[in-house]
Amino acid sequence: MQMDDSLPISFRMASTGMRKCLVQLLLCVCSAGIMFAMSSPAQAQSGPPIKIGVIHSLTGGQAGIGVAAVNGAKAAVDYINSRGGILGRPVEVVIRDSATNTAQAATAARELAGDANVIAIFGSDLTGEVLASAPPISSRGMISMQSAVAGALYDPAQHCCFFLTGNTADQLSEYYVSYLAKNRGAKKIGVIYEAGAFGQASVDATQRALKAAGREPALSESFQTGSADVSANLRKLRDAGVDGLVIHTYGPGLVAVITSLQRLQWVPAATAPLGASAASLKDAVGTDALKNISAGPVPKTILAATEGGALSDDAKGFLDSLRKIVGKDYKGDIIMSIFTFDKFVILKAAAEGAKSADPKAIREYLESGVPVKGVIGTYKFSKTNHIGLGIERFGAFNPAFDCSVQTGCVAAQGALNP
Amino acid sequence: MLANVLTDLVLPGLVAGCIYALVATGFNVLDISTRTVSFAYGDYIMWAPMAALIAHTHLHWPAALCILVGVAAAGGVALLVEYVAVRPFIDKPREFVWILSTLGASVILQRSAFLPFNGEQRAFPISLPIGFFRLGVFSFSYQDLLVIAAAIVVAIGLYVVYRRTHLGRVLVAVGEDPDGARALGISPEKMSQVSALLASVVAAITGLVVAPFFLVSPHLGFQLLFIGFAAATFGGLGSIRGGYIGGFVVGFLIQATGVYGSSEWTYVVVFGTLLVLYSVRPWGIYGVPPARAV
Repeated sequence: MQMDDSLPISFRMASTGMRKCLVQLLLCVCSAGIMFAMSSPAQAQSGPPIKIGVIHSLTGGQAGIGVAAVNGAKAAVDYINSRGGILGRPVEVVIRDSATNTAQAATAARELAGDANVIAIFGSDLTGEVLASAPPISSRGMISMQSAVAGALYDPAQHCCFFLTGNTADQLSEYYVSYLAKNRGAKKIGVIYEAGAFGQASVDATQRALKAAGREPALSESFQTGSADVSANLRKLRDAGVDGLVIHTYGPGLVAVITSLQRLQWVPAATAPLGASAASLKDAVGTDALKNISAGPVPKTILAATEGGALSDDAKGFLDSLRKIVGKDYKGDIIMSIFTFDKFVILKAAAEGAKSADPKAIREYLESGVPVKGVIGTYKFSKTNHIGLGIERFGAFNPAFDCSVQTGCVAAQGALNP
Repeated sequence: MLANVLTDLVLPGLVAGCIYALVATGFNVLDISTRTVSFAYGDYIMWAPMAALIAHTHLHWPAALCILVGVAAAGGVALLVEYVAVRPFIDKPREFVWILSTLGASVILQRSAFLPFNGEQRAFPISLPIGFFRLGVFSFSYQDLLVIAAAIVVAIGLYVVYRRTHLGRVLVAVGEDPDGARALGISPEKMSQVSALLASVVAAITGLVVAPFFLVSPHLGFQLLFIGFAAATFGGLGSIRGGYIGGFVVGFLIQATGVYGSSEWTYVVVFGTLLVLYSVRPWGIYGVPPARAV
C-alpha cells in the first residue's frame, strides 16, 4: 500500500504512527492468541458437562483403596478438562461413598444409574460391591470401567458393559507365581491374606495358577482385619517349608504382616499387592523390612527404569495432575489412582473415537477392537473380551525405594518380566 | 508345645487384649457417670494421633508438644460430643436417642478427619523405634511393651480416681442416681463433662499407642470400636475391671480362632461366646443387674 503523497506531512506522520500502532496491536493480539492457544490447546468447552459416576469406599475398612481411587478420578477430571474435555464438553465427576458396604454400593449404583446425565459409572473396584452394583448399571447399558479382580465381571455375556483396566485375580496370581518361582527361585509357595472375599478369591486363583504351572498347591493362612500381630500364622507357613510368600492385604494389614516377619526374623521371597506402593508403609515399617519384598503388579509406564530411565509423557501428565490434587508431599497409594485415572482417559478416547457420548456408541467403539491408548498401556477390547491389557504390561517395584507422586516408582531388580 | 502356646497364643493375645481392654475402658468410663454409650468414642481415639500428626507434619512441633496437642484434641472432641450428643440425654438413658446422636457425631468427626491428609493412611511418626525385645523364642516389639504399659498405667490411674478420690465417688454416684446427686448439689451435667474428659484421656493414650500398628486414618477408631464395645459388654458395661477382663477374653478368642481355627470364623466365635454369656448373665461378667422397679 502506497502512502498518499497528497496528504499533509503531519497527517502522513500521524498515519504512519497509526499504522505502526495498528501493526503493534495486531502483533499483540496475534501473540496473545498464540500464547493462549499454546497454553490451553483445547480448553474451549461448551455444552452440558458429561457426568461420570464414581463409587468408592471413602469410609470403612477399605477406605485406603477408595481414597486413592477418588484422587485418581479428580486428577483425571483435571487432566481431561485441561485438554478440551470429552467431545468439547467438560467432564464432571459425581462421587458416592460405598462405605465398604455392599448394600450401600448397590444403592449408590441405583441412584447414579437413575440419573440420565450420568453416562458411565466407575468403581468401587471391590469385587463384592461391584457384583452388587452390576444389575442397575448393566440394565441401563452404562459403561463401567473397573479394576475389581473377579474375572466373571468382564464376561460380556453376563455383564454387557463392564471393562477391566487392571488385572483379574487369575492374571495377578499367574504373575505372583511366575515371579516367585522364576525370578526368586521359590520352591514352596504360601499365601497369607486378610480374611474376606478378596483374600479367598486370591487364594483360589493362586491355587489355579500353581496347578497350571504344574506346582504343588500353596499353603494358606488368613488373619482378621484389625490384627496387629500375625506371627503365629506366618510361623505355620515357615515351619511347613514355605520359601515364597504371597501377601494379600492392604494398609494396616500389610504393616502387621511385615512387622510379624521381622518379629520372626523370617525373610522369604515375598510379593505384596498394590498397597505396598504407599509411602506410608515405608514410614511405618522402615526401609530394611521391605528390601526382600516386591510389590505389584504395577503398570510398567509408572516404573521409571522400565521406560529407558524416564517416565512417558502420559505418565508425567498423570503425576502432574495427581500432584495438583494431593500435593507434593502425598504419602498415599498412587497405583490405585492410576487405574482410576486410566478409566477416564479410555472413556475420553472411546467417546471421541465414536464421536458420541452415548454409552451404546462408546461400547460399540471399544468392542470394535480399535486400540485405545491409556496411561497404563494400549487397551484392546472385543465383543467377547473386555479385559484390555495382558499381564506383560505390568512389572514390580521394590517398595523400599520411593514410589511417589514426584517420581513414580522404581522397578524392582529382576522383577520386570516374570 | 508350651512354648508354641506362649508364642502363638498368650503373648499376641495379651497385646490384643490390652488394646481391646483400653477401648472397652473408655466406654465404661462414660457409662459409669452417664449411663450412655458414645459411639463416637472411636473418634476420640482417632483424633489424638491425627492431631499429633498434623502438629508434627504441618507445624513441625517437637514430639512432646505434638502428644499434648493429641491429648487436647481428644479432650476437645469429647467435650463437643458430650455437649451436643450425650448431655441432652443423660437424664433419659432408656430413650436410647443417644445411640443415633453419637453415631451421627461419629460420622461428622470421621468425615472432618479427611481434611488434613485427604483421608489417606499415614504412618505415625511419634513412636518408639522399630525393634524387638527377644528372650529365647519369645519376642515383643517395643510398641507391644508400650501398649502393655499403657494398659497397666490406665488401670492403676482409674483405680486411684474411682477408689481413692472424692471426684471418683461423685462420678459413680451421679451415674447411679442423677436426681439424688442433683439434690445434694452435684451437677450431673458437670460430671458428664468430667467423665467425657476422663474418657478422652484414656482414648488419647489408646490412640497414641496403637497408631503405629494401624496407621493414622479417619477410620482408625472405627475399626477398634465394635470389638472394643463387645469387650466392654462382655465384662459388663460400667465396670472398669470388667472392661479389662472382656478385653482379654476377646483378645485371646480372636487370637485362638486365627491360630487354631480359621480367621474367617473370628466374629462368629467372639459374638457366639458373647451370646452364650448373655443367655446366662445379660449384664456381663462384672456388670450390675438393673434394679427392678417395684
